[in-house]
Amino acid sequence: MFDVVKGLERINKNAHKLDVLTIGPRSEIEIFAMMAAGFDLTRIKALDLFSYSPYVDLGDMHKTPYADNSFDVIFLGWVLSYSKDQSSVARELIRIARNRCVIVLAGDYSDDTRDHPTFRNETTHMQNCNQLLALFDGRVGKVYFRHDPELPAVAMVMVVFEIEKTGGA
Amino acid sequence: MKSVPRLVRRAANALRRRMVVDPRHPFSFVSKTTLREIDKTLGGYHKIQLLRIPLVRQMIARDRMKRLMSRKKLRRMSEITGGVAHNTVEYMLKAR
Repeated sequence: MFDVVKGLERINKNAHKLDVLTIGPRSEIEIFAMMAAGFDLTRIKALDLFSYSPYVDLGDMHKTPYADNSFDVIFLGWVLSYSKDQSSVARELIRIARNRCVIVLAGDYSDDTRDHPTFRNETTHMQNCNQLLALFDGRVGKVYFRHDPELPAVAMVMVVFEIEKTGGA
Repeated sequence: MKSVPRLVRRAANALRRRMVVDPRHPFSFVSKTTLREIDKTLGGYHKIQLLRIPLVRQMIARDRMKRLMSRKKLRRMSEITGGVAHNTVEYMLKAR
């Protein structure tokens, strides 16, 4: 996830001065991976529903504690399917993203055959990149990377795109 | 008489080296001095570069978690919006 973003020249050249957010990192491993990718620890924010780490802010992806236009890069890895209202997450990401913010959404393909009862069938399936991009309809700028699942062997869905905040909706 | 075994030893060592050293392996011809220099660099000012190695990230995160959890309770969102799927926090805590 971080390597793909590091491949974007405008990110790679400026990584140390970009404000980045990771949602749902769970442990600090993801934060260390961001540092390894060149992001500055003082500019890294992490948000989760629970944490032991001083690096992580408590919060909910549907209503984050961050100000408008706060971030240049936002990562959501294996998180979005735990929302039962993905449109509201998308609206929140648009709010806290700066113009041309790079958004990374990744997760595994899911359908009704998965262990849904654990979550009272409230999780939302992630099945392809178009589904994810549609959540940001009218705000999607360049799409840098897309990886759709090739079932049954390849389950990952991942899309890297930028938010367009000038003009439009 | 002494020089014969020495010659044999040398020949045997040379043969062993030829058999063991794979010229395609990137570390085959690295001197001990270079290895020491790498070790010193990664242990000092450039320690942060070690975070590029996934295994190192895991090990450091594990130690920090153990230490931080022993000193402080897990912080947890008291109020979660209706958007989060039921049981997500419990599921994640178990998975941690």
